[in-house]
Amino acid sequence: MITQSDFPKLTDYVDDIFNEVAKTSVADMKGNKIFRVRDTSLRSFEHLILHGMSGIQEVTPGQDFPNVTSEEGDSITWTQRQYGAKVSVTEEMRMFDRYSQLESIVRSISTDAFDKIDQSLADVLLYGTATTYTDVYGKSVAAVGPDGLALFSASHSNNLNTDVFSNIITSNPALSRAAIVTARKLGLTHKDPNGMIRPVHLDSIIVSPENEDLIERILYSEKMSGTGNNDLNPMKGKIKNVYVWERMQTRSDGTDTSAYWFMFDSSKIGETLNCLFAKRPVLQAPEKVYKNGNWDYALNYYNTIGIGYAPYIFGSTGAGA
Amino acid sequence: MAANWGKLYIQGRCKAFGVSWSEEDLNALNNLKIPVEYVRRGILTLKEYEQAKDSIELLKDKEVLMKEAKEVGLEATPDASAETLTKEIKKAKK
Repeated sequence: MITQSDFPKLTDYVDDIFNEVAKTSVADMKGNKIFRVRDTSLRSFEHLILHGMSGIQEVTPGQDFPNVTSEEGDSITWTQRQYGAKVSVTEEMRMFDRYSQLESIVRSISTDAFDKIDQSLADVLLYGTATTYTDVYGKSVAAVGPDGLALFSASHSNNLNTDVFSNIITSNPALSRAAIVTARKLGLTHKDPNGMIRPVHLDSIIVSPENEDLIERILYSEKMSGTGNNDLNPMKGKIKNVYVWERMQTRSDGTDTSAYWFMFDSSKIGETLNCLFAKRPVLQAPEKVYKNGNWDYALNYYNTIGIGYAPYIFGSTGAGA
Repeated sequence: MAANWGKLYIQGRCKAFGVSWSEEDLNALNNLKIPVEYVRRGILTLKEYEQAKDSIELLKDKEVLMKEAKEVGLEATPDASAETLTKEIKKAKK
């Protein structure tokens, strides 16, 4: 029988389970390796994007350096939301030493937290052509970037002129060697609103498990895969990171998204995809416990996901249209 | 995620506060070059635009509207949209 004097020991036991789940879950997550994950103390985080300012000019001796202002940029505010659940150690569980029941509940709720965080990150990409969607927590969320458009749009705008750019891989092709070549070219020839080439090096790719075998053949074969052409595979070594993300298979509303694939610039993706924690997931013990009541452990976290400047990721639904 | 809708609206980069341009709207704006005020009123084809061209009053420049607002004694801040200013100036003039 677990009594009040056993509470500190029980808390250590619960903490150990949570920490073990957290360790394995964080290691398994893919979203935290793609998104820029940061801690913040701000409830509302204002992110400024600059479309590529033309600030540098020739300076003659004695002349002041030209001013650079944020006028050319757009801003967006990412506001923290709180998520949580209660794990109750009931009197019955304590009376009959139901450790295995308790372990299952703690393990399940902790896994749920990390799974939901990872799925919420995946959904940002999988709902990337929508401006709003119902997230994994069942709430309707806005999914626009600083230009008021969806993450993936053919008409990303700026406040300098009427130029637009697209980060949708032309015609949403299915994953193939040719489509990767197209995407890389789109990235390398990306122009800012001032008409300057600002190359985006698409060196990373995200696919669903459905496309795991295909992407490995495309990228790692000695010769060009899927063709009778015996040329050496020029794609070999060009893609630094391949993420076979389990959550790409279906998004949180159950839609099959296994054909979706994305390419991004690993050095700049933090400008586009952000995940901010005001409080990372923690399991807190109750401050007071009573002999006859439930002992409620609270798992909670404060988190927000943010879309920034879009050109550092390109995507395709694989639908071919 | 909250974009700076006020700024985007004034710059003609969204349909309304909190409402993004749709694909059809973007086609009318970027490919057919139909002015923002018309697209905001649902005019998405060149034919509709030709018909509506003279019937819709185009909004004046924000600076001009701010001056007019001052003249009619309207306590407006630069955060007010051109539509709101136009409407309030008309009311004040009556």
